[in-house]
Amino acid sequence: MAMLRSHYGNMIFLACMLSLMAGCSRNTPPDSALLAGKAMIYPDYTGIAIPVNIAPLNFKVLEPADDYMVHMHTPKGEGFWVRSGNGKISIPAGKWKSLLQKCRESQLYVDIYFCKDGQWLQHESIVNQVVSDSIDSHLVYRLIEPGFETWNKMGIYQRDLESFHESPVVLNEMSDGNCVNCHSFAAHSQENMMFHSRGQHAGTVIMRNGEIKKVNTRTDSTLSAGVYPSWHPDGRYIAFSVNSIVQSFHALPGKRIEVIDTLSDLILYDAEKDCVMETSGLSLAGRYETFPSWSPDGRFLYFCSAPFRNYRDYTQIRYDLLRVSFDAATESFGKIDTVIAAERLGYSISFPRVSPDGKYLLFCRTAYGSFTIWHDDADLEVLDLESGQIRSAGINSQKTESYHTWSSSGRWVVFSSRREDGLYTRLYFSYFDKTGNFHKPFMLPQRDPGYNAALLKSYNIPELITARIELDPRKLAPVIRSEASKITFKKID
Amino acid sequence: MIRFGADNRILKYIVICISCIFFFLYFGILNKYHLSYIEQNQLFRYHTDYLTGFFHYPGGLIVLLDSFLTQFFYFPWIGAFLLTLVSLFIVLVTNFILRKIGLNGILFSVLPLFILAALHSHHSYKLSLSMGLLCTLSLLALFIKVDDDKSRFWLGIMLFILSYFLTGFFAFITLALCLLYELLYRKGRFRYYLLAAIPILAISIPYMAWRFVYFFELRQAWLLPLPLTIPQPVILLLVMLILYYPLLMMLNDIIVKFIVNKEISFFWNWQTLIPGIFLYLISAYMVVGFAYDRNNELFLNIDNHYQSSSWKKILVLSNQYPGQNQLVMYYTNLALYKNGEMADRMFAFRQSGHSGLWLEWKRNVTAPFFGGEVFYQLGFTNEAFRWAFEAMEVKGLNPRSLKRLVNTSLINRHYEIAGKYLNFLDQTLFYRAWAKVQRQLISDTILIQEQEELVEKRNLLLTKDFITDINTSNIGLDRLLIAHPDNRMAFEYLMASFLLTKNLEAFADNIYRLKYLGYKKIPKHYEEALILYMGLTKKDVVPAGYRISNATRDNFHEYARTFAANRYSMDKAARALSGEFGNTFWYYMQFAEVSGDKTGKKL
Repeated sequence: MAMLRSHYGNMIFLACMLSLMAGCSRNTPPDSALLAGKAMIYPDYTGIAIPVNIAPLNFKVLEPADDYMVHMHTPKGEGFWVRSGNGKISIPAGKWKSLLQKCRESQLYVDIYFCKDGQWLQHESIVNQVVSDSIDSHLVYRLIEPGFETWNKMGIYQRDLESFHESPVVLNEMSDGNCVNCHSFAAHSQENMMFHSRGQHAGTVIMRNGEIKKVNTRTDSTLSAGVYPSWHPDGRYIAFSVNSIVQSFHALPGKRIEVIDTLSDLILYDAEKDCVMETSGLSLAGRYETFPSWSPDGRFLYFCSAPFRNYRDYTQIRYDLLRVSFDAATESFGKIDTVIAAERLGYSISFPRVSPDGKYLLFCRTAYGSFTIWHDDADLEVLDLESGQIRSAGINSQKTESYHTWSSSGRWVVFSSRREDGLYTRLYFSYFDKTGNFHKPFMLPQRDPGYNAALLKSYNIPELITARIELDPRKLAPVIRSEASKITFKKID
Repeated sequence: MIRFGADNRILKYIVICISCIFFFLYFGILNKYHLSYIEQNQLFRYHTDYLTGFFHYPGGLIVLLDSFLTQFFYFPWIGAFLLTLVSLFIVLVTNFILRKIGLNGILFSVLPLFILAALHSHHSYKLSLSMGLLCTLSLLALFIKVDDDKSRFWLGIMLFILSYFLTGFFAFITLALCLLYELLYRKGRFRYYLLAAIPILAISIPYMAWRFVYFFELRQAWLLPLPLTIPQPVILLLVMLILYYPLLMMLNDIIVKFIVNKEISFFWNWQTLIPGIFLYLISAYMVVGFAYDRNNELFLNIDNHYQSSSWKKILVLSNQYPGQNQLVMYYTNLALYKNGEMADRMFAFRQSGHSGLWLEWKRNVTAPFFGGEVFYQLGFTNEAFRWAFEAMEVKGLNPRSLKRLVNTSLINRHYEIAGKYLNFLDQTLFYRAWAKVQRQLISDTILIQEQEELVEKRNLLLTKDFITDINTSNIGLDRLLIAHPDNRMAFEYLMASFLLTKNLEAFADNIYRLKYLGYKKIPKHYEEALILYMGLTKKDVVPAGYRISNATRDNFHEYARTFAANRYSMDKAARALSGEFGNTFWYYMQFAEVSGDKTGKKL
């Protein structure tokens, strides 16, 4: 009986071995028929430029098949194979890093083979460009449901772009579920960070030079507490807008929320003296001012401004792009210049961000208003600050493109887009080459390529920083729950 | 023949069986819709990320078990059976522990069943808490079973650490009960070691878990998975249930040591049986009399019938509901409209301004969950999506909100979003079939033409935008009518809102729409309002081609005559008129007090 069992065991083993050697099961490059066109993969990592230090671009082959093999290699054919039974291609991190180094300033080939009914098929190679310009190592964003009025769990997270490691910086469930938003950094440095805490523990948490404090930027003389921030590159000043905001809901399918300012001004916060300054030059009578953004040299403050209108005429509110010079030594602002007059172009401008070399300004355009994340028509445009020429960034979709940040080198841009489904914001990177052109964007890579498709949260305010924030959310929580310290107010000319 | 005796097992199991049968019937019959509603508040998914998510908090195991079992409440009888099963285990483990400490008396083991029945009658009580108690008692039983002192000491330490991660807060109960048992019923030095180890364990383990494993507020390290807010009655009952065991252990010890000097056994005789039955019945009465919420069950019955579009049944149940409940009025009005009776019969039911037509927006668990229905029925799809989204935000993923998000997305042709939400329903046991059908509508959008409900709503899609403000008393009915003059529900709700706020002027301004909406005759309540309006203003606003029926005119004369006869006392007039005319607009207009009353009491 034992012998019989053993005999059957051998037969089964042999059968398994034979089946492995035949049909779809193999571990070597298969002989395959070549199909026209490129394989459909998700996320779309085809024809893109990628930084040499990015995490593996795991993807899923959307072609239904029994077995998949992917060959990733240099133009000379050096590389490795990845095999998958379900189409999800998980690239080994070590091999990926080494391959990217070999492909530096050259092409990375991705050959996708799949087996259907015992027949191996192959699509045309996907060719991506690997560029030497590294991207900043960490990306900070908020994860929140794209809710209308209520919120539940949210947090500000940092993601190591060279791996898949994501860790929380702030979690609202550690501080009574309050809202946290508008994180900002000075000159891409993880050392200087701020964010707002709203609701029960209202205040602005500022981490600067190794110290953490929570301040109340609301004064009797200003419209509100600071809202949209921009941190001066020297790390001392933060320009804030102060806004009175209303939120309404659209009835038309395809439109959802309208966020409208009924009043807004700009203020300047001095983190050293804990003082808020306001100047009549930045709080123009009869105008809204919002979305301040410093030039990388700190000499100019760019912002959006529109003539006042009743908020019910919200579709008529169009924001110009203005700028004002700033002298940090005397804490004084100069004359305001109009950089782009919205009326001239027939659209509204928001989220101005100047490239680190000071040559370009990337902004959002939309038909009206300033809160572009809820506008399907919002696109990214680039202004050449030397020639004054405006053009599309060429990385837009039919859906919203909104918040964007340059990398510290100015060679990469991360931006948020709702191109996937029109509701849940995802992050995309685009290479900005030396000729001033953006390349086809690609989605933030994830260990599981299906992760973003299943995630019921939006990515908010992507900010690139050069190193990891060394802060435990457990230590930050008591600061958030603490009483915000009061600050002084000063009117300046 | 059953004979009374100190330890008659058959009688003991008969008592347990009877108790469990009553427990089962109590939930299977009296709390059927309550169980169904509990199921609607969660979504158990067979997905790794979802399942591992439970272990991001201490007590993950019992919360996971809670969610797993609750999915079966989809069939309330199975839900009742599972609740009974969990409670039966608690009774059996209790019985084992009590026997081990020398307390023989089945009633002591069965009494927790009544507290559990009372607790599970409350919608905010979680099954995870009963699972926590079951784990606690099971671990205590395991602890008691070990005779060797040293082994028991180390077992106690390990059980605490393990149970902290699996049951959270209940680990402290386990620890306290083990210590109490050790101090009262065991001798030897290890009990003092345990006494010394307890404060160290109770402080250090949760702190270390917070410091190195979990992300939440420090105080929650000792409290999870207890809900953040627990209603007063639930707290009282829960405390009673938790304290029941240590108190019984201490009481037993005191009686044995200082009073009877032997093991306590309640013999099965008439002296124990009669007080026992009395206590049993009193407990049962307390559960049904005080913990059982009949009105809530009635409302949830209405809600259940709403889900299955049983409009007539809703109206029958609405009549049975005692007192005034906004949600009942809300569902009643929806059912009245769907049944084609709103303009003829709405005053036959309780009404109170427009609060019974739609719910005021509030950031709570109730308003978004129920409040989106009216928008969906009105064809105000964006608002229906928004309310469902908010409900999901407040309650977490739940089948009702997800299904609504899918359907509103399909209506709005947002197929990617619909597909995203369907992915979550695909991962469930009971909703994947529904998801499969809906997914076909995405892969072949022409198939939507065969879905009557979706087609009807799609035909009402807006083509001109407007914005709505939250916290408003106007939900945009007028704008819906401008966009779709054929939106009959928007018209009837608009007219109902005018009638309910006694705004006759606005009512008269819109009566002309009857013709465009194809009404064959003027509905009864509209006739009543028209008679009043025309009597007060001397204007004829009856649309061409329509007339007010003689029956309504005669009724009004009779109403006026009765009122005139009692005109010196409003109370007397109200009483005289309520029988025959309590279901008329005239009566509502004259006697109902509503906020925003346009006319005051006297006409």
